[in-house]
Amino acid sequence: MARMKFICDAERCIECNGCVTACKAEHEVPWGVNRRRVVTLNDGVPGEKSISVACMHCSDAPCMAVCPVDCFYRTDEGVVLHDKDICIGCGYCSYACPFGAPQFPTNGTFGLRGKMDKCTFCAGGPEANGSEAEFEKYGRNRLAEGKLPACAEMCATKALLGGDGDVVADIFRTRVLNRGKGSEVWGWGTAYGKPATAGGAPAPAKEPTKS
Amino acid sequence: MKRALIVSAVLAAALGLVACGERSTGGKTPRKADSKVWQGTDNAYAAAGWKASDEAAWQEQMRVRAQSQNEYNRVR
Repeated sequence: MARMKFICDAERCIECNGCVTACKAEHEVPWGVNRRRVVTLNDGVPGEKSISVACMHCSDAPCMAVCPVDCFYRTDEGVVLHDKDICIGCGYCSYACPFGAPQFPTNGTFGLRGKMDKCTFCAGGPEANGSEAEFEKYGRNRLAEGKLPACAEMCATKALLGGDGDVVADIFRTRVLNRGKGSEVWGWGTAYGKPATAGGAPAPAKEPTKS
Repeated sequence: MKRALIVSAVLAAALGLVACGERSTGGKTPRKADSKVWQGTDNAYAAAGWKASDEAAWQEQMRVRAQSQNEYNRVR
């Protein structure tokens, strides 16, 4: 059974924001909501690195643990999804998430905070696969179409890899062996646990300070 | 007669109090059940090369698709 994961190769990311644009366009994400964004570490310092960040679909997701209405669930592929009909927009998940993934659209005269929105690994939500209702609430269900997330498939430098954890880790490992550097994967250890328990996954990153 | 009145008053009070009680949710979340991704969709955007509702075919499709991110397959 595939276990879906993201890897962002900081050696390759050129901060083009193609992944951000692909995500916004694919899912028609509203203004003010960014399911994915590019973060530059040590910005302005020689050797700065950029990484693309979104929900990592953690193995032991803290958002699931803190949700007071239990709106989250995990699919067989390890994708963490939520039911917007249950979400009350309290924001607890936002405080719990180490990646800042949960987003809250603001709308109306008083800027009311809406229901939480986040990366779905292009797997939609609990509505029928590919239905209009699913698209309206969660965006396109590319996994059910036999595709991988738009952000990863659109990445020009293939810095962002998405798919079965074993496969993407193997692709990344081959790269590291070829170039002989850049084995750090930012956020991998936080999201999926330590490599000793992750079946030969890449080494976790020494996480540098954010700019 | 008086006894019957008392009993009916008690029953009426008990029935009235039912409305004040909290409804049990049975400890279950009302969250909807999601369908499996390998069941596919009816829309016209599905990728070719695999058959919907076939889990093994979907898994293979994911493996093939993921390898499209591996440029070493092209340059070597």
